[in-house]
Amino acid sequence: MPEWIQTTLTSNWFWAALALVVGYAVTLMGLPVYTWWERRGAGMLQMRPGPNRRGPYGIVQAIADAVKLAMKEDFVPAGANRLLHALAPMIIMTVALTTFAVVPWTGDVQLLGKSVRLQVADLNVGIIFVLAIASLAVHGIVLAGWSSNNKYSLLGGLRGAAQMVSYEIAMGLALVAVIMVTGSVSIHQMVADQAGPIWKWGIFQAPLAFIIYLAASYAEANRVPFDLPEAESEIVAGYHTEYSSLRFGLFYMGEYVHMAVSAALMALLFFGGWHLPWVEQLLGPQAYSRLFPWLLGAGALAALLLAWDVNRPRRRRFSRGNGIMAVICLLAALVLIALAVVVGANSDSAWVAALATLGSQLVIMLVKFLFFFWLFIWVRWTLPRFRYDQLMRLGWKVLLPLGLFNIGLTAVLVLAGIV
Amino acid sequence: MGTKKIYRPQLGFWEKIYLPEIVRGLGITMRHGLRSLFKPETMPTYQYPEQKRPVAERFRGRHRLRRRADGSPRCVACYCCQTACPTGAITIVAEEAENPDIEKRPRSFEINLLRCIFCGMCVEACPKDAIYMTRDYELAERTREQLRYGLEQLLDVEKGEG
Repeated sequence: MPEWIQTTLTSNWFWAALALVVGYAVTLMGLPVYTWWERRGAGMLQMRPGPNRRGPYGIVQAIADAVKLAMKEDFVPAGANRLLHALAPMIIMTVALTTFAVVPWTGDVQLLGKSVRLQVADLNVGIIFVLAIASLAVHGIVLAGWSSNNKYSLLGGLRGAAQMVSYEIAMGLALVAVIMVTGSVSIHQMVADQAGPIWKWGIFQAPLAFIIYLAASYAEANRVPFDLPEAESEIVAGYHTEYSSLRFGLFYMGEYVHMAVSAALMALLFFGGWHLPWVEQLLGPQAYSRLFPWLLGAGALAALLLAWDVNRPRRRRFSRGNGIMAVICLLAALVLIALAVVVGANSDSAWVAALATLGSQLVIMLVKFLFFFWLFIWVRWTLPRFRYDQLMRLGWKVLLPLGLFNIGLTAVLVLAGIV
Repeated sequence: MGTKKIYRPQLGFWEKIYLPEIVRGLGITMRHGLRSLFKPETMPTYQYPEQKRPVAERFRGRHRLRRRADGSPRCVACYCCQTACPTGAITIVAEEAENPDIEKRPRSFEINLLRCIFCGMCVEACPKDAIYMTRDYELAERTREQLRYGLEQLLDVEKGEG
């Protein structure tokens, strides 16, 4: 192996840049897919197909949506505070994206005598950083509501402020229990602590904390059933009533990025992140690298299934480009199979094994992440919105005492050596 | 003042803690979602341009004018339909017919489908059963002018029964 490849593979900036690429892929590049996924999923849950015309499975609809949004007039209402009006969506988006810096995508792997992992910045205060940055998001909502010179926007901003401040407390208290169990505030350490049997996962160590965190993170992301700041049946569109074009797009994207962060954190803190339960006991210390060819094979199988399904007459009837997608799927399946064979044949080589470990951990993490993203969509199209007093009661009189109780309970359990 | 007693549903313990009910609700939506995913034919939607929703037997769509056996319009330009029309969508111009038994025939017969509310009063008013309504409801055009149907379009057999 040439020396420059070695120095690149062992340098910190290379892996940080790669983690950045992964982070952007699941947030900004994934956005059109998420909007399509949400619309399609909503349709299916409501017994209708959703957008299924533009491109195979209607996937090109995402691009059509984006173009439509970008082509609209960028309107600023009369009497609006122009500076704050422009600033608010930027705050939302920046805050949402910044949180991704501390999300680790894989565990530590020994590569060419150096320990590497896919994470932009390994802050030793990772989870506190997430809480601190997430609490800044409220500024975006309040400023948007205030600067729009619209009573509905103002109401939305007020609701958003009250809600996010209330649920931040419950969220922090829930995370305290997790911190006590894992004994660290570095997200990477917290996940590393969950290796091994399934009861090492955060959800089994601190189940109450997971429920509180789940509710609080839905409230923080302003998603149903906590979407009071933008309750369309009461206050038009809440804090983003007076936004259009790409400025509205920023709010929209901010919401999805916020969901992505929450989904990633749920997978990391409570569902073992990149770990699968028992693999190390079953497959030995090189479990993840030995798993990688099988994961690639599963991916190839999925691609083949997709290639078959997209070409069925029922699919071809309503959309064009299905043949192209089938060809792409077949090519992807071929590449995946070839990769699996190469990795499987060279598993003795240390650096191939290390890269395979990284790969399989990334895949496992992404699958969990996507599940929790789907949970957001699933919940949105199932539950009705809370009334405002119900929201406040749940936050202050249920989740907050429950969080405090959970801290005490966890302290006792930790002292007793049970968890 | 009389008081009204409102009976709220009594919630049990498991309903009060809310979580099992959420899970039950999620189960219901997921069941529908999976059924839509794997058995799309059970979805109650119509894929419109390809699949058309069947219309009722007595559905009132675009008008048609009947012809006589010799091909001339059966309409005798009596203005009954124009008088009965609540929106003034029908405009008839009469002229003398060549056949002395008929006396009058329409020189032009125009229905403005943008004004028409498809109430069917013209059909009821017609003494000659000359005008009736088809089941054709796909009436989109690019200009308003195109939706003013003249004699030729109303007599057009090719446009069919709908």
